[in-house]
Amino acid sequence: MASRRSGPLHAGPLSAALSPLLATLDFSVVRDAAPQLAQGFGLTLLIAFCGSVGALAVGAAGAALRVSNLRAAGAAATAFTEFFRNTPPLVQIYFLAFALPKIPGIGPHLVLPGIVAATLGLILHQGAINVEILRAGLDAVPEGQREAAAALGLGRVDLLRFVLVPQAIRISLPALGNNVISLFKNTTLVASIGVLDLFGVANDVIAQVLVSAELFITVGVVYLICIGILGAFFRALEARLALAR
Amino acid sequence: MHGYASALPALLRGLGVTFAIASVAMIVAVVLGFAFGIVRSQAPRAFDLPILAVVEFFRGIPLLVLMYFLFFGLPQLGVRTSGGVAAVAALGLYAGALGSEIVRGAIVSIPRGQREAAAALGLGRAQSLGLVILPQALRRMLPPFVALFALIVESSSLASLIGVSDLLEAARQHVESDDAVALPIYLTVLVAYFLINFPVSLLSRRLERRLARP
Repeated sequence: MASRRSGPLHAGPLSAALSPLLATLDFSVVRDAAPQLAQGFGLTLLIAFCGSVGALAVGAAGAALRVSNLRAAGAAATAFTEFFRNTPPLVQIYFLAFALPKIPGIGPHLVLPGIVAATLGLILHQGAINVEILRAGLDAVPEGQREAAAALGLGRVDLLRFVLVPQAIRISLPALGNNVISLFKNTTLVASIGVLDLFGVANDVIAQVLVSAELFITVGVVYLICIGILGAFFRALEARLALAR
Repeated sequence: MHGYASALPALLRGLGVTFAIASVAMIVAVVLGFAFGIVRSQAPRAFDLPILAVVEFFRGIPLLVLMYFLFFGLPQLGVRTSGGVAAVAALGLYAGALGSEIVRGAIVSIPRGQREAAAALGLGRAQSLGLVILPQALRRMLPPFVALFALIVESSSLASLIGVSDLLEAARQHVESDDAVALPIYLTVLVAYFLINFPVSLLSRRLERRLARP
C-alpha cells in the first residue's frame, strides 16, 4: 500500500505536508472488515429510511393539528414541537432507552430494543423540526389563494387538499430535504446505545484491531458520499416540482 | 452516593462544562465564520471553490465521526488531543462552516445598489465593505447566529461520548452507579437543555420577525 507515493498530480504543499502522515495509514484493516461494515451500512440505511418516513408523518400530523380548529390539540402540538426541537437528540435517545423502563407501573412494558429506542429518538427530534417547517410552509401560501378557493366554493378539506398542501410542500421542500440530511448524519448517535450501524461497527472493529484513523476516514467518506447523493436528489426533486414561471 | 438530590452538584458542574464548551465553540465558529464568509463573498469564483469544498466537508460529515476522528484517530497520526480540545475543535469547525454560510449569505443579500452608491461616493473596496455593507449585513446575521448557538449547545452533548464530563456525562455516570434514579435524572437533563435552548431559539425568532418588518 505504501508504494503509492504522490505523483505530480498530488504534488503541492498540503499533500507534501500530509504525505508522511498518510504513508503511515494502512487501509487493509478496512478491507478485512468490509463484510461487517457493509452490514452496518445496511442498518444505517434502514434507520435513516424509517426515521425519515416517521419524522415526515410526525411533522404532517403536528402541522395539521396546529392549523386545525382544535385549540387544545394545537397547543399540545406546539408544546411537543418546542420541547423536542430544543433538546438534544442524544439525550432523547438515552431517555427512551434508559429512563422509560423506570416509569413506575408501566415502565417494565416500555423496555424497547436499542434500535427502536434510537430510531424513535431520531423521529421525535427531526419530526418536531418538520412540524415547524410544514406549518411555516402552510403559512407562506399567499392569502389570495385562500380567498380564490373560497370564491370557488371549496370547503375546508378541499382547500387544504387541492390548494394549500400542494403549494406548502413545494415551499417546504428545501427545508425538509435538509432535515432528512440532518437525520442521516444523526444516525451515528444510535451507536452510543450499542446499535451496530455503520458507525457502531466501525467502533467495534477499532476496538479489535486497535487502529482507528483508517476506519474513521473510510466511514467519513461513506457518509459524505451519501449526504452528497441525498443533496443531489432533493435538488432534482425541487427542480421537478417547481412550477413553471 | 445514591439518590436524586446527591446528583445535583455533579449535574451543575456538568452544566458549567457544557456552557464552557459551547461558548468556546461559538467563539471559534464566529471567527471562522467571518474569516471564511467574508473571503467567500469577495473572492472570485475559482478562488471560492477550494474554500467551498472545505466548508461542504465540515458541514456534511457527521459531527460524531469528526469528533471521534479528532479524539481517537489523530493520536495514531502523532497528534495528541484531549477530549475537551477535540470536542471544541469538532464543534467549532462544524459550526464555523455553517457560520461562513451565514456571513456570506448576509453579505451577498445586501442590494448591489449599496455597493454602487459607496463606489460613487469614492469609497474603496475595503471601506465599502466595512462602512456600508457589513453594518447592514450584521443585522441579517444576528438571528441565524443566535440559532447557531442553540445548535452548538445541543450538539455539545456529543462530547460526553469522548469522555468530557459535560451535563449529559455527569448524568450518565450518576445513573451508572444508581440505576433507580434514571427517570428523574434524565428528565432533569432534558429540561435543563430545554431551559437553555428554548429562550435562545425564541430570541432568534423574535429577531428574525423584527428584521422582516420594514
